[in-house]
Amino acid sequence: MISLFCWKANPTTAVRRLWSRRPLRQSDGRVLSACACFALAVVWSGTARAAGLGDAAPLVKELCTECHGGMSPEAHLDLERLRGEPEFATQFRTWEKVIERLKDERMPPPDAPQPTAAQREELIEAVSRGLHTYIDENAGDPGEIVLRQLTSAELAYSIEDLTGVDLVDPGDFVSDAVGGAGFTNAGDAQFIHDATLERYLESAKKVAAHAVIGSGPLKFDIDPGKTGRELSSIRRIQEIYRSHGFRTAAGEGGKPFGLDVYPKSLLVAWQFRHRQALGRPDATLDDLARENGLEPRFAAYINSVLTAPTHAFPLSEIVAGWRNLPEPGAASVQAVREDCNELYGRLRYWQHLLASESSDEEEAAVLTDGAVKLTKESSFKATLDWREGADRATIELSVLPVAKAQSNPLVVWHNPRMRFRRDRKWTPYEPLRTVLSGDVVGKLSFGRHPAGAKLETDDFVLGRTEDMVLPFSVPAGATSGQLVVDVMLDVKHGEEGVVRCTVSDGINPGETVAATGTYSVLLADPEGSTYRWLKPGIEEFARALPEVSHREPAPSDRDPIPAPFDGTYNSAERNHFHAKIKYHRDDRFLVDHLLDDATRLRLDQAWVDLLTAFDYHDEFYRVVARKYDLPDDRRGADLDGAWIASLPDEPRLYVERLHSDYARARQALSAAEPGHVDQALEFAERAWRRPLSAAERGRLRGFYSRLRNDRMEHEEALRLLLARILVAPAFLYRAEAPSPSPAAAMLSEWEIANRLSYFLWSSIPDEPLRRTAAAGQLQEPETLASQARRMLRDLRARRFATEFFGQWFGFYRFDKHRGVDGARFPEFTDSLKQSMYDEAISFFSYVVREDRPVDEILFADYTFADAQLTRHYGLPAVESIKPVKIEGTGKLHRGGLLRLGAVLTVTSAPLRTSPVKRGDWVLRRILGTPVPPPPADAGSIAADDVQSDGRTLRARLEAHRRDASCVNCHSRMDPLGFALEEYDPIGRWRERYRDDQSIDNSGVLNDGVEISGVSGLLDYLKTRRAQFHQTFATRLLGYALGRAELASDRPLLDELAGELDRGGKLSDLVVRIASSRQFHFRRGGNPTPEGELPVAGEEP
Amino acid sequence: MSRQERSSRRAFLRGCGATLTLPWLESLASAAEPAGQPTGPAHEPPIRFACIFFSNGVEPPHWWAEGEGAAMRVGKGLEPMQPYREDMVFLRGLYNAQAAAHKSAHLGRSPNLLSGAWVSTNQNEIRVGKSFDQVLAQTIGKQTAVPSLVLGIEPTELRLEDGLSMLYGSNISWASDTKPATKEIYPARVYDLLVGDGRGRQSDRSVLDEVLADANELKRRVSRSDGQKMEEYLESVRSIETRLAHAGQEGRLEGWQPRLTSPNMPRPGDALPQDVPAHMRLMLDLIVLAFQMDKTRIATCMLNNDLSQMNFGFLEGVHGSLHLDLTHNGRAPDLEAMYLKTNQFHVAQFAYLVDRLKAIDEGERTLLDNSVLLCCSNFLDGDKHQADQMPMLLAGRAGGRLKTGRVLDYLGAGDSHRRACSLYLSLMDLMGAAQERFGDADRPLARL
Repeated sequence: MISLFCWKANPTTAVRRLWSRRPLRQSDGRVLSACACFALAVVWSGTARAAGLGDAAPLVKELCTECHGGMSPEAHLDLERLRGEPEFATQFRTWEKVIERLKDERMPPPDAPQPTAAQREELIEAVSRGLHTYIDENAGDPGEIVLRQLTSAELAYSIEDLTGVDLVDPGDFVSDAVGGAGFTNAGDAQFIHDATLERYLESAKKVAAHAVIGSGPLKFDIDPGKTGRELSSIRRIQEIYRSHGFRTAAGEGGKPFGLDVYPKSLLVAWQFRHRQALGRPDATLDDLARENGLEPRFAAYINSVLTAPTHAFPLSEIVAGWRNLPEPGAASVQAVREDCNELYGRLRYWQHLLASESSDEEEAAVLTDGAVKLTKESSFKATLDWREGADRATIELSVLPVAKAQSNPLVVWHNPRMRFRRDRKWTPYEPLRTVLSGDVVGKLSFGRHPAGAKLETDDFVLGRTEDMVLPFSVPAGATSGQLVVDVMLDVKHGEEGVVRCTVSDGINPGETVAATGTYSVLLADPEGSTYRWLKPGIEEFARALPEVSHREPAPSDRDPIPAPFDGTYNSAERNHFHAKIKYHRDDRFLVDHLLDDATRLRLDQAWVDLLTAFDYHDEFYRVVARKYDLPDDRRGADLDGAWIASLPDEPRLYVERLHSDYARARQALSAAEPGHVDQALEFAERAWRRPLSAAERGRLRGFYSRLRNDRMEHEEALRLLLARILVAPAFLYRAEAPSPSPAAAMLSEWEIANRLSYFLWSSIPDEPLRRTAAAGQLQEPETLASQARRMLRDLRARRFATEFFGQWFGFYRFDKHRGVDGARFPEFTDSLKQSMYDEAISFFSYVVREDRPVDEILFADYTFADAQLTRHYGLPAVESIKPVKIEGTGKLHRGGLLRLGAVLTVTSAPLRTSPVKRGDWVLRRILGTPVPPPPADAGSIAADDVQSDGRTLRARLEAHRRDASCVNCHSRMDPLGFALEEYDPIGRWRERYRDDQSIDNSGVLNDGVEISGVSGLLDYLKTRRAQFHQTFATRLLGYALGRAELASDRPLLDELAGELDRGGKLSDLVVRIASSRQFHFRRGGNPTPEGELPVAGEEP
Repeated sequence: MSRQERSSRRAFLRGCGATLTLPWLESLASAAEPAGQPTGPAHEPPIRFACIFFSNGVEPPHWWAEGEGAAMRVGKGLEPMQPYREDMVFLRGLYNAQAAAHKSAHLGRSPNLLSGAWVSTNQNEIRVGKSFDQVLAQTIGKQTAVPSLVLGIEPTELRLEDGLSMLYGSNISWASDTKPATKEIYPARVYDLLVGDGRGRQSDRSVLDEVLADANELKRRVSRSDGQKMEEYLESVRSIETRLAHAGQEGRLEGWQPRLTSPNMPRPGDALPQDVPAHMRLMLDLIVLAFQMDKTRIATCMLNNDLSQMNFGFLEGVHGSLHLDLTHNGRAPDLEAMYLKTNQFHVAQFAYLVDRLKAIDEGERTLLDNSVLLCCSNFLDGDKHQADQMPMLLAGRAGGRLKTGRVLDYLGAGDSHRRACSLYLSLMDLMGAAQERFGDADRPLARL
């Protein structure tokens, strides 16, 4: 763990702050060490302190400036100028080179006057001293950080986090460029022009178009405009229906949900009834409902049903069952809970039985509002299954009177016929009689009526029958069967009443068709007394305890449609309804008995938004007008009350309701307007990443009001307000207040929060970070550290993997890589490219989020691959289409940075590998010691790996480097690149070249070290860890600050690299940087022209 | 007087019910401008300038031209210009001294092509020099709705090359010493810029007014150096507002009226074209459209970036990427032949532009005659990064002020007489924006 807050900071600000917030505790070593640091530190005094060359200046003049001076200094190195003002901060590398050249006596050149050995010593000594003095005096200098714009990626991430929807493609902007330490987030290479600003404006308007501006709070949807409003409303409605409502499995593909409310409510009502006995005399129904995870409103409702004085059959049966539940003394609560479940089973039996009669054949069988239609006749079309390969199967039939008092009804089973499914085709129907075997046929007495009446030969009659099992032989190859039969209650010969008939294959006896494959129908004589006695009870039951709480908002074409539409299948009105009116609200039970007030409000808002997202009211009126011959030229949206009152009764009913619905919707929409403006200001606060000043609030509101005064609609004005927020400099730029004096100044809490969130997430601070900043706690070391660590674990840290590691190692936007010759490598498809990119990002996300040891970046024995990539690499196959972690890949040539397909591909030429490029990449990106650029006339080697002269790439490269001027650099680069030669240009492992030549993967570096193959390279890099750590530290600091390295960063960088040498983790480095002086301060000496004090983020 | 005549001509055209691509009516033109009356500049079509740039140089043995007029002979690299020899001026031996002296073989020698400036090697600063096309844009560009078009095919690469930002390799047009002009690579956006008429953008203007105020306010609250950065934002807002205001105005700022008043090509799709030749052709068509509608008079188009990875597999018999494989071809004969094909392909793009402009009649002269076009690369020998000579050729007669069908050789004239910046001074003069000095030159190019 690195100790925090070891700045050489100005005690008058930082220390006071630290002390005032945290009393010193003896036990807190960290605070002690921090004080020690402050005490020892050279007090920081403002802008970078100039350090001169001192005595060496005249020597530089004497020895160097004749060439490196004047109008056109040699090599553009003007030592004449630097002699006076050495600019150590940025020119430290130049000075280091000067020292190096003097040391190895390459300067002054042989043909120039030479210094004495003592003079040379003196000069080297003086320059070094000057440089080190500078570093010592300026350590921790925040440096000049050019005002940063959001990069394309930052813009897209910020908008995603602001709206909760991924709306902007960073590819829409082409204005990114790399500067500073090699990252797009450096201000020096960022520019804005009218064309870029036009793009920002365009994208801001696009985002604003995705705002859902309805009767509820402002939110954003993945779809824009009216579509977004309609679909978002549907999603909101569905979400409420799913989370609060219930339904049984009705219809095709219907999944039951929420059904546990019934047994729970039975139990809660029981507990309430026996609250005295249960020792909780003061418990309310609400309390008990909440304890059982039940909506209090529903508990109260069920309780009222169960405790009502009288009920008709069959509800009476359920209520009686509940009343007969054991008393608390007689059974445990757990036992009663099980009893409730059983009682609920009985409830389900009735629901299902009645539901099957409540709708016509085309519709889903659901019991809602008592629309039960019983007839004497019905029919079955029952699918029969059997175990695969079985040669015998069964049909089970039953005929049961609903009321136990009934004695013996008769049911005629007319024209029963079977067909079989074989080879995906149906066989022709055959009479059931011929399907059943001889002994079974006898059970059914085909063609004989018990009362002697006439009966067709294939028909049979059943009286009261329980579970009659009829086995039959399965025809060879048949996979399922179907029994089709018409059933009729024979009231002429048997008793009238209400009868349930079932057909089942007996495999899974159960309650419902969807669950079990049992089909049932109810038959009754509507004229009979039994039916008249039962009907009100059925309706009461259906109303009180339905099996679904609501219908879906958009009826499927099998569902009934509301009055006054003609529900006939395929009728013009029904089709018009499905095409134009689309939605029908049928959730009375849910609203009345299940939803709390807040949810009711949200549901109402969603419905208002849905029905005002298109011309619902107009379309509705059109149907009514056509049906009742009303004038067709009016719009449902504006009808006047007097005219409505003059209409005939029936149309008036519908038109009136339409009119009042519309008026209510309008009312709800306009009531929401002021709230939207408030919410837009909250949006601005998040987008601008700091509290708004009162003046800013005023300006934003003023803008909106002016638009409204210009007669612009609320929705359009609000969208413009949102666009205006997103194209404002406060959003596009990461502005920080200047230091009011020549001294460096500490940043505000909000500025630090911003630096941190753009560092780790490339996006806006989230709510916890905002809270911390608002509370002024970010300058507290522990809080800062815990925030940073939390953020690194967050999913959004994937962006850090993409942005930081991607740009550092060169696989950034690899999904758009175009450097592979498609004709040579047709297998390099877009989807393979994406898989390789995913591998790289998944790997680094893992390292970041799991805080793996930093050296794993190079030496990991695992990688992340999807199915396609495992095939490409020849790894053991995985099936996943998302990358999964695969362990132990080292022996299969995979794992870590160097063996990533994306890296191996970007360091190749289109047709061949490039050992030079790969070697240069290792030197530059991993070891941080790039070779100088090649001379302009360096020449080149051929593009393809196989040439007619038969020479290998290596032979050609060796011929190329024979030139003495080349060998110096190439002997540093090439062996590193050749070690990776067994990876082809698209990252696959290979044993030989295309022309079957063998691959020589070895080489000798200029310091004599021999390297062969990727394992040799990894072994070599193990000896160069310190260099890798130094590069890591430099890149990470450069990325965090958005600027290139300064001489004064050296002490911090050494500390960071040292921490890595000791096994430090990425999170330790991030925390150390986040608590560094560079990160917390802004350089002084560059105040505003007017010298005004900054206000950003300081106002409450 | 003349104003009335012009409007009567417009009235006539409206009367015909024709507003676009109407053939030039000679008789009407002469009727509108009675014989004997001198035609002032307001009556003359303006001179247009376009620069077509390709990176990575040429095969020097095939880059030559000899002779005059119809008798001119050209090397293989210039074959596509064969039909336009008499419209062309071949320039040999021009160079930028600061580029040739730069150590960075690519980035020190490409962003300064049109400015002759030094490319800063300071990692904390982007600095080259304002390019002459942008000097033109900032002087005479305000006469049109769009000051200049800056086009390209490839986006800015996101990396450093030899420690320098690839921003350098991706821009030859620089709006200031430290800021590249925005290079547009999406054809649809160029089209919208040209054709979008500013009407219906009232609400955009209300947003822009607001954020302009924001930026002014913010500028007062940030440091001086940040304030300078903020100024870029302010400039951007102002220039959009100016453009919207311009677009709303009736008629031209000068007397001359372009023939084409609405686009004669469909709007390109929103996506970036995937086919390179089609992409280039669209960009060139858009330059033609812009010139024809007089939406701008200055255009620069980079057919590729420096260090381009553009894969030339779309040319028959060619494979590999422009920079790494084809330019640095190891002198392998088959690859040199492919490299030559890429040179010819680039010149063919220029020839296409010449051909299209030549087909457009602007009264007394063709649009080509009313233009001066520059085709150039920053290296002669691309393989050697040779910047001490650059391939350059001109086409078009600059309204009659430039004599074409010539070969001008400056190679032996001495370094101070072969500065590319002298050419740029000459071109700015031809465009009616003469300057005293530019870059390292203080006199125009002799003999041009």
